Parts: sequence; C-alpha cells; structure tokens
Amino acid sequence: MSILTATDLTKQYSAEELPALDHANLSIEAGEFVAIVGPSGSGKSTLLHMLGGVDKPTSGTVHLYDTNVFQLNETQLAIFRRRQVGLIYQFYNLLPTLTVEENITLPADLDGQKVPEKEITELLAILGLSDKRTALPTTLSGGQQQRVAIGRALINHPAIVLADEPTGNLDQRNSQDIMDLLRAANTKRGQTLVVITHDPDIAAQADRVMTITDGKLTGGEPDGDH
Amino acid sequence: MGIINRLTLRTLQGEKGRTILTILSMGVAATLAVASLVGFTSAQSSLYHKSIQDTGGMQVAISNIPRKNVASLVKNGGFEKVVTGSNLGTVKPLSGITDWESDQLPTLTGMDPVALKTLVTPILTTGRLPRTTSELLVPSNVGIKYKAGGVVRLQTINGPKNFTVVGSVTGFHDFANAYTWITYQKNLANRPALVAGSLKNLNRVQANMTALAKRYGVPDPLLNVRFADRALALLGAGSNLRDKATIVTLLAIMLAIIGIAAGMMIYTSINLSVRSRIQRYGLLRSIGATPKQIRKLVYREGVTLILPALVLGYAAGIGGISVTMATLNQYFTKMEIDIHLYLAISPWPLVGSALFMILITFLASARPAARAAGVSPLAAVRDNLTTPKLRRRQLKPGIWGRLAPTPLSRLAVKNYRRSGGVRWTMIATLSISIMIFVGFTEFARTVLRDVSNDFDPVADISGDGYATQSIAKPLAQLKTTPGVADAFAAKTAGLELSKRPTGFRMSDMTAWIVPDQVLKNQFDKKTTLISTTTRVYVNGQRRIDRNLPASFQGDLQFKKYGTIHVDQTITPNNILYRTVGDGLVISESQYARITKDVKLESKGNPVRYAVTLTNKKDHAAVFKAVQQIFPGNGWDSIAGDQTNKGILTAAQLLVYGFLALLSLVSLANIINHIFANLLQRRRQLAMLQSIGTTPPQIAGMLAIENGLLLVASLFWGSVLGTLLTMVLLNQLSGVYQVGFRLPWLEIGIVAAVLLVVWLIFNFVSYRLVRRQDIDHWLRLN
Repeated sequence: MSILTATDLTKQYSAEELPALDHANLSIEAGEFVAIVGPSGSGKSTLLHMLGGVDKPTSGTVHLYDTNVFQLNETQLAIFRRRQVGLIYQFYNLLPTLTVEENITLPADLDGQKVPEKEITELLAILGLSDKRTALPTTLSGGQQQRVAIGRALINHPAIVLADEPTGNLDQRNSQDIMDLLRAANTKRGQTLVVITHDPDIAAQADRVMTITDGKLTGGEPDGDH
Repeated sequence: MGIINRLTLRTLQGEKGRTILTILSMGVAATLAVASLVGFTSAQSSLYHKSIQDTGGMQVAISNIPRKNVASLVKNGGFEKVVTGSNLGTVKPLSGITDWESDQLPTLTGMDPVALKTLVTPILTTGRLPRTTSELLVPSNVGIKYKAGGVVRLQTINGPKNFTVVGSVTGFHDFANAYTWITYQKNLANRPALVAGSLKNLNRVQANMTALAKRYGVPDPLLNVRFADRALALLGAGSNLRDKATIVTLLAIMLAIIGIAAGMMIYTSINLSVRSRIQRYGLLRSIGATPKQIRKLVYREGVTLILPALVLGYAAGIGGISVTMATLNQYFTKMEIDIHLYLAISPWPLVGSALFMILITFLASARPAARAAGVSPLAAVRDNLTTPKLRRRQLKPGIWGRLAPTPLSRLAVKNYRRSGGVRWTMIATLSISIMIFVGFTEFARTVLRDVSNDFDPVADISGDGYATQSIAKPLAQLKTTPGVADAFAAKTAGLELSKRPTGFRMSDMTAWIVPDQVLKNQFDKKTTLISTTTRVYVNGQRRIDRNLPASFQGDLQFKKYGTIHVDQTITPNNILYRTVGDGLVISESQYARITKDVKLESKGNPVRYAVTLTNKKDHAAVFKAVQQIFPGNGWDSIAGDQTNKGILTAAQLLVYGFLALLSLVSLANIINHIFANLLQRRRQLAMLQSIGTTPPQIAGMLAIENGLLLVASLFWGSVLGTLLTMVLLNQLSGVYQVGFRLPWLEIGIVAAVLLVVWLIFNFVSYRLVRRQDIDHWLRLN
C-alpha cells in the first residue's frame, strides 16, 4: 500500500533557470526503504524537503495517506511534520542547549506528549547512547550526534523518515553504524525510510533506488526500473 | 517545566555573556521607568507637602456646621485628621478701623490651642497666637494699622467687647474666608462650627464634601466649603479639571519617552537575538514547532530577561532617587531653603513600572517574534535567509565605493550598501535614540534656562504698609534699621488720567507720595514720572516694553485732582525705584495741596516700600525688623529667590537625571547594536582571515562599515532631534516663552560619544579578530 505519493512535483526558482525539480512522480510503499541518488545540484534535497513539507513546490502535489500536504495551513503543516515526518540532516542540527534526551524528545514535547520512560530508555539503548543521556551535543562525536538526530526523527513514530545525506559528514565506520540503525528501524519497526545519498554502498542497501538528474526523477514508481 | 520554558532558560544560560549584557541594558531602561515614576510621585508629594503647609495639612474646611452635628460629622466624615473651631458670629468693628473694605461683616472664629497651632501658625505674619478669649488675630490688611498690643473694640454676639490685637494673619491661603478674625476658645461654643480636616479618600472630593456639608445640616445660603486647591491639584484632585489633565498629560509624555527609548532598546536586543538564532528557529519549525510556539519562545525570552532587569531597576531607581533627594535635602538645609523632598514609594509606581516594562517588552518583541515565527523550516538546512534581497542599485559600487582606495575598504562599502533592511533597521533605531537625546535635552535645557532667567530683579525686601501721618519718620526708621543698605518708601494714591497723552497705555496711575526732603534730595525737587521697563515675549522673541512713555514733560490732567505738571521722566536703574514700579513721584506737601478740596475716603494711605541689604545673609532678621515698622504683607525676595533657586536646582537635577538615564539607554542601544553585529559575523571574519586578510585590515573594514552607519545615524538623528525640539517648543510656546536655537551642544555631545564608541569598537574588534580561532569558527555549524 502506498503511503506517500508525489504527482508532477515541480520546483522552479526563476523563469530564466531550468527547474530544480521537473514533474517528478513517485510513490512509496509502507515499510519501504528508498534511496535517492544523483549528482550535486540535481534536486535531491529539494525533492526530499518537499516530501517532508519543509519546502513548497511550484506545482504538483504530495499526499501522505489521504492528506494533501500543501493544502494544510502553517500550523497544520507544522503539526503534520511533527507527527508524520522524521527529518534527519547531514549536519545533525541539534539544539546545543538541550541534553541528548531532551533533543530526542523535543518533537514529542512540542506536541505536548509525555514519552514513557521505558520507551526513552529502550531508544537510547538502541542508539547506543544510554550513557550519554544527560550529555550536551557539543560533547558528542559526529556519529553520536547523528544518532541523537535519528532518535529525534523516530520518537513520534512518524509515517516516514526522510534522511538528507545522513552519513555525509561521517567516516566509514560511523556511516555504517548509522545505516545499521536506520536499516534496523526499517526492518524491525517497519519504519518507511527515504535516504538521500552519494554513497553507492548505502544506496545498495535500499529496497529501491531512485535516480535524479537535472531535476528529472527516474524509478519513482514501485514497479519501475530498480 | 514546559519545553518552551526549558528552551528559553537553556538558551539564556548558554549565552551567559550576552544574557547578562541584555539584562543590564534592560535594567537601565527599567531604572529609567522606576526612577521616573517614583521621582514623579515623590516630586508630587513634596510639592503637595509644601503647598499644604498653608492650611496646616488640612485639605478641606467646612463652615457653619450646626453644633449638634459636629461630633457625628467628625466621626463619619471620612477624615484622617480633623480640627474644629466655633463661628462666634459676625463682628462689627467699632473702633480704630476706618477703611473696612469688604461688603460683608467679618466672622470671628474661636479656636482651641490645637486648631490654632494647626491652622493659624502657618499663616501668622506678625505677632503670636491668642491665649485668652480677649486676644485677637486680625487679617493683615487690617493688621498694617495695628501693632501688637493695640486694642480693637468689636460688636460681638454678646455685645461690645475690647480685644487686644496680638498679631495678624495673611489672607493668601486657600481657606482665606473660612477664618480671618481669630480668637481663643477652649471648647466649642454652642454656635455653628468650622470643621477642617484631611481626608482618607480624595475621590470626587469637591462633590463629596459639598454633599457631606449639606447632609450635616449646612443650609444652602450658608454653604461654605473651602479646599486646599493648590495642594489637591498636585495630587490631581483639585477642582480645576485642567490641573488633572496637565498631570495626566505630563505623565503620559514621560511614559511615552521612556516607552520609545526602552522599546527601541528591547527591540534591538530581542531582534539581534532572533537574527542570531534564525537557523535554530528554522530547525524547530522543521521538526514541527508551530509559528505560535516560536512566537511564544521569543516572548518568553523577553519576559524572562525583563524580570531580573526590573529587580535591577527597582534597586537602582529607588536607590538613585533616595540618594538624590537626601543630597538635595542636605543642600536645602544648608542654604536655609524652606523645601523638603519626600520619597514617596507607593505601590502604583512600583507595580505600574513593572507592568509598563512588561508591556513595552511585549510590544518590542512582537516584530522579532513574528519574524522568528515566519522563518521557513528550510533555514535549518540552508543559511540563505539571512542574505538580504538586493536590488540592482545596491550592487553598484556607489560614490563611496568608487572613492574607496583599497580592496578591503571597497569590501566595507559593499557590505554596508548590501546589508539591506538590516542596515536601515539599525540606522532607524540609532537615529531615534539620537533624536530622543537631542530633542528632549535641548528642549529641557531651553526651558530650564528660561525659567532661571525669568524673574525681573526686585529689591531684597519689599512690601505694603499703611500710614496716616507723614512717611518721613518710618522711612528714617527703615533706613537706620541695622543691616539696611538703602530704603525707599512712599505713600500711594490712585490717580486717573482724564486725558491720556501719547505713550500712556492706561488711564490709571499711582502717585508715589514721598517726604519733601526725599523729593528734594533724590529727585532734584522735580515731580518725576517713573517709567520702568519690562520684558515681554512676542512671537517667541524677547522685547523690552513699558506702560508709560520713556520721556515726558508737561501737564497731566487727572480726574478729581486737576492738573499736575511733570518735570521729568526717568527710567530707573535703581532697584528700589524699579521695585515700587511705575508712577508719579510727588511730595507730601504737593499731595496735601492737590487733595485740599477733595473728599478722601480715608485718613491714611497705603504704603509701598523697598529695601536693599548690606549683607544678604541677614535677610530674615531685617525682614522681621521691617515688619515691625510696616506690619502687613512683606516679601523677602532673598528667601523667595533661595526657594526658587532650590526648586530650580531640584528640577534641573531631576530633569537632567532623567535625561542622563535616557541617554544611557540610547547608548546601551548603540553599543548593543554594533557589538552584537560584530559577534554575529565572526564566521565571516574567520573566512576572510583564512584567505589571507590580516586582523588590522579586517578591523579597518569593520571601522569603515560602522563609521558609515554611525555618521548616517548621527545625521538623521540630529535632523529629527532638531525638528522634535522645534515642535515641543512650539507646542509649549504659550507656557514657556522661549526662542528656538539649533541644538549644537547636544549634537556635539552625541558626535563625541559616537566617536568614543567607534574607537572602542575598533579596539575591541581588532583584539577579537587577532585572538579568534579561525579553525573553530570555520568548522562551527
């Protein structure tokens, strides 16, 4: 069953330039692990941000389940992102003034939800951060910070996790650790996952690979050429 | 603790230096608010205390209360303090008083020692309080004819009775017609009573007290409720609504000034903080924080900062005002000035200043909060929101860019031109700060300077008396009084011109009747017209004006008295003549001649005198001695000048204190602006260093950028400040007749302060760039 559908998604920054994203169509099944690959400036991040409701397209639609994402108003969109989307960035983007635990539970806190203690403990254990629970982000390594960001993306059990070059800033060992975590979330928790990457090894771990070149997406449909 | 509170506190804790700086800056603004409101209420209270002295602290006096109702009125009238007296009926002077002026017969009031001490001591001009039922105080216009010990025979309700005059009281007070002829009366007589008191509640005091008097049986024709109106007006409870409006307007103007200055500063602080955290807000938005939550975060930060700032404001504001007032009180005591300043710490200025500052913080945070809430979630991943949208014009080098000789100076000009809205926000806030300083300081300085110069000089002691005989003897007494340097005294008589020659602005004139010897010695035996000059203001400009011609010689035709030949006209430089003023100086024998066939209303004449002192320090003793010669209304201008000087000093200190705090807020704003901007650009500066720019070059670039910013702000601030002064002076031209001048001094002060700030900035920026870890800033995400 398809949970995320994008139809004719186009992003044009100015009339003189080529579109950053040109009539992209895609459909992602529940529990699927999708990798999007493509050269720099090809429109990967633009596509990902639009899927997450962070950026708006010039034309086209994104549906998560039955919700047309871009018909939501600002507040509805914020709540949508909070509950349905987990975002992971290359540069972690943690709040330096909050502890590891507080950064992870931030989306739940913003939603007024109290995360059960057991769930936090389990998640920290999965992330390998049990001993860093009260540490501040600045005292952590890059790999540890990215694990915190993954925890934050997963805490609200979103419908989909979107990761933008999650290993782009990490060495090979840390990269593999992060991918193992994401893969585990995908296989054990059935978490739908979309990862943008340059790395062919990471792309190879995905159920399906989409390619984007000059804003044109291929492999967007499940029965496409992957 | 909710996530918003936690985020706010952690953010502030994480940026301790900046947080402390912001709290200190806001603390200065809070000090300004607290000090202004406490200072305002203290000044109000001090002036009230000074003014209420005349009525012994009593705010209202109700006459003619039926005796049987007095006790219940005293009990239920809502009084805090109360004294009573008895209306002993109208009295008819039977002896000694020949020129009774009033149409109505005066009332004799009997008072017990407490009432006498409370109500009469402050208005006693000569003599002492009565101690027996046959001792009497008379009003000063009657008292000028009686020295202490004189006997007056009055028709009283119990028949004719002799009273010994023991002194006189002035009629210049708010309860004037409630008690003027006063005797001793131990207990309330079985007569209508006078009840004077201070009240617990001053709401609608006029209407309430009048209703109270009626309720307690004062019949309409006898209704006489007097209020200490001048004092009540200072509390905004006077009968004149304009007084209340003036107080409210004054307070509103003051709060508006504080509000603008504090608002600008708080806006700057919050805005800079929002700008520096724009990516963080973007991140929060990307993980699902709603715009409302982001707005809340910014508001919460403002309120969290203003609370400790308020504590600082209370300590510094109240402490500052207390020290200022204590110093002024010491000065007043040392200078023997009869003023005491009272520190009034009532709840409303304290609560009011807190609410006011919180309100200002909310208002000042509104725009930064909206900006933060409007940040796109993309700001979390792309640092492109802080880049201003540039117009084609801004991309051109401009005049300064073409003139800039080095690559770094050209870069500085480019940075300046291309900083877009940020630059204009900074110029606008700095200009408004400068405008407030220049505009209000010049305005206050002009008004205070004018007030201090606004009095025409008068003799050290002057006053009125009464004489039935020649003035020669009392004048000789006056001149030989120890401490007197020179004196002039003349009997006066009213003259009316039947025909008004050119230069005579009015028909009424005064005859100064001097002893023959004085006319001979001082006026060369010539009938002399004294024509004094006064300063007037026409269209804001000072001009010399006079009511009598500057030179006149010839005959003047007067009604009743016929023709008087004027031998000469003088414009006196002598302070004694200037004090007595315009008039025709004639000799006593000449006056006797012209009045020979005229039926005079009274036997005697009022007297006007003026005295200069050998040593001004002796003014109190000489004044007392002069009062013995001429009992009546006297004016000790040395004491008056000291009081005026004291009030002026206090006013100057408070106004300049207010302006100093206001300037400090503006300065904090300027410093906040340029230093926060420097700290925000550290990564960019590190990048410049990494590509081979030296610290002096970077410091030079920053110096040019800030120099351009400060010069533009100085220009616009000075122009706007000058316009503000013009508008304020124009608005108050009816009250303060002052001319406009360009505020060069204030502009100079601002330029000097900006120069110092700029130099300090250059030094700090150079040190900062030289010491910064380039790698750290370049890696910083």
